[in-house]
Amino acid sequence: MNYKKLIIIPLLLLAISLVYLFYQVSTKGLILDIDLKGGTQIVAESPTSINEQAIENILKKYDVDIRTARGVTGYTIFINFDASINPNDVIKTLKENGYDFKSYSTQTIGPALGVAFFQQAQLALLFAFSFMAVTVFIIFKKIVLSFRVVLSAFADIIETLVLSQILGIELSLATFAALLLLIGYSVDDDILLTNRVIKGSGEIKTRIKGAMKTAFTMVGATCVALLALLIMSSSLVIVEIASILLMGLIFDQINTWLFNAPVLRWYVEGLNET
Amino acid sequence: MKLSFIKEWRILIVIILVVAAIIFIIPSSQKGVVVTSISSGSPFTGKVQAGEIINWANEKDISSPEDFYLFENFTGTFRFMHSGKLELVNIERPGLGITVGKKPVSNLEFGLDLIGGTRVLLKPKENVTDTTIQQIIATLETRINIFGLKEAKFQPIKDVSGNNYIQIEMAGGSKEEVENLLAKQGKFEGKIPKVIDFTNTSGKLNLEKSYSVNLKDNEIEINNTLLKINESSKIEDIDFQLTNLTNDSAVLLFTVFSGKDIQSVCLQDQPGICVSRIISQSGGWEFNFQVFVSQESAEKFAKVTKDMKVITEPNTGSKYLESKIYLFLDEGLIDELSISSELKGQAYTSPAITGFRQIREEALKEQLRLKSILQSGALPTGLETIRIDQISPTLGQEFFGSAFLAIIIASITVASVIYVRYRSFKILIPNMLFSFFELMLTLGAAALIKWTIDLSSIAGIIAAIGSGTNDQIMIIDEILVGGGEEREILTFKQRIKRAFSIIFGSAATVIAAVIPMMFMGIGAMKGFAVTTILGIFIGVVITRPAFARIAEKILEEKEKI
Repeated sequence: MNYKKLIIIPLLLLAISLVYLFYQVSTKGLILDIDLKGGTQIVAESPTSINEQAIENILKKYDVDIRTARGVTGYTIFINFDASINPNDVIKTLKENGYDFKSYSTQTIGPALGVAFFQQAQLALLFAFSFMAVTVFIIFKKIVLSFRVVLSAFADIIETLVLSQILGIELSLATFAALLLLIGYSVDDDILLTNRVIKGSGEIKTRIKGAMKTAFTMVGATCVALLALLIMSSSLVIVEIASILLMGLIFDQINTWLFNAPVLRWYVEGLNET
Repeated sequence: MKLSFIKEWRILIVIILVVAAIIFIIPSSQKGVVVTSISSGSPFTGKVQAGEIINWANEKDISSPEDFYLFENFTGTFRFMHSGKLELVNIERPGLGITVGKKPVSNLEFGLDLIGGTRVLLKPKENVTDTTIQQIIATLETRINIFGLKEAKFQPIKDVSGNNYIQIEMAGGSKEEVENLLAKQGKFEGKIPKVIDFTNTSGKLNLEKSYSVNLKDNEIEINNTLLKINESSKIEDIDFQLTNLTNDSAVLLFTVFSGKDIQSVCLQDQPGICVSRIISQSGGWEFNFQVFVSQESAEKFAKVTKDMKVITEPNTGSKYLESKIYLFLDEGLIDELSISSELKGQAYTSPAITGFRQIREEALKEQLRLKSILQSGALPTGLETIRIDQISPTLGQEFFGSAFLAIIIASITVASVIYVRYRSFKILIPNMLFSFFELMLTLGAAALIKWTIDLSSIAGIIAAIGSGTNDQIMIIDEILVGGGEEREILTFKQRIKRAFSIIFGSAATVIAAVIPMMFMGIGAMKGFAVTTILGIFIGVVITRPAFARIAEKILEEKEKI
């Protein structure tokens, strides 16, 4: 019964992620984007690649945070700073130092609004997760089967959140949206797997392998599409959503095939033995 | 045979709906321009609505905004066709007071983050009712119309905790314009100071009647009321404040006009009726415009100025009253004006407001701003700008272009994955075709419900089509994998049935997970949720059953070989 030991890997991963998340929340807190904590973002376009460090030095007194994305016709730079700073001053400083981007977009979100948005987003995540759990219980009916799916979806969310924080991807309304979507997506291959194994015929191992082949084709297609979006899009909304989903789907494979599948096999074999 | 005919209907329905969606998205090739805004006072007010198409005017076909603007200096009877109807407008003075734009290439409406513009979120400083929000919006609409910001859309928004917000989206407008025009409560006051001189701690205040003013320590006694510095009171129905107090004199500041006294504002200079001008002066430009105030406040002005001394200015010889009138907006001084001696003691109902700016454009803008605020009146409560987004149109286009290109590249990579897996164009082509169908149907549905497509909506459409592709792979695999040893046991129909139980299950979980997204960030991600749900729904109900039928046919043929 070697396959049962596989379960340890995803459980360990979840445990480590939970500890890390707890540590980060209780020390420095989650890294948030301006729409969840308030602040101003300037977006500008440049035909050539941008030296983030150089711009950060120029704007040192404003304590800015800089990110870039590559678009079709050039690069897009995102400069974040406190809502109390006038964006025109930042643009002026950039111009004085020879960075004259032709067109600017600016967005300012008040700190109180950001806090409200963060609360709403957390609530939305909680509701989405509960709705998903209820739907899963309706679909699978059996407690053991449903609980395992819900647990692996939970693991997907936590692990993705932790990795995105480690990689410095700020939590924003867009990344929250991606996490919500991930809740829905992560259940997909579990439903596929469970259906094939429970309703199919033939040896369980073959049934799991068949489901795996289908799921890998599906995930492969989704991942290449997400990679294309990630590389090609100059919009931060799309880049953030794509990167969260990409990470989430990879974690989902670990949780589905190393946790869900063995537990299911265990369950079905247990049923057959009795 | 009859049964298979009914099944083909699924495919037929998809084709009909896709054609309908494309026809719906792409509007007719009929020429014309679309009306984008109508300013108040335009001869077109009430004759045409924003969003209507004008394609003919005074025997000329209108196919571009330039064609229409040729009539900018036209006077006389203007005949034009709008939305298929003929309308006559009598234009007395040059100026159409209407803006038009190119006819859109599609019926899809795009969000601010894709086309550029300014979006502002205002929060009332106090708790307000829905009626008050409507009242605020009406006032702000008047301000924006007079000020001439184009295509402003107002929307009351409520968040999950019940807080009220007002969102304004407009094509232009700078941060400063928004804050000075919209976030200002617009409480207007005109005040005149009167100096009371004391002889042996007593003096006189002359209004309609005469009152004695007595100095007592740090207070004055007037009309049986004791007042400390900065305290206010009322006399003969006029509000006043003690603003300065020494042993020799006291200064009382009388409020003669307030916002509610203003009955109308001279929006356009009309000789013999009202004055609104910009005059070149040494070092800059002076603007002025008349306001018409109530008789009641004009009488207050008369009472306060009745006993004022007249001063002659040595240089010009002009005669003025000893006190100026001070104009305040939201407690801030905006202007101080000398009062001509002729107005002394007069119930003057049409005072002028003046100001000065170094640059003509700025003078014009400030004049317009004050007119807008005074004409619209004060808001029931102050507003706070809690969010402001200014999106440059070129950046929006860049986002759109890059998203479009990314989708194409993503489709190609997905196609190659599917080809690598199945090595069959017979499987690949229907797969890609159905993804395209789903895109068209989702866009068509978005256009039908007049959904504004923003960046997050595009992300949602991508998500829906992505899960569509996944479902298609699964349908194929269920049919194929159902092969092998299961082939003898399960029929095609049973295999497809199993595929659909998986599809419905995953669609249900995605929709369940996405619904709460609508309520976060006061709808910032609503587009994502709506398009995802729309796309998944269309997929499950319309395209997937048809795709299953096609897959069945293709794979049936394959199996026979």
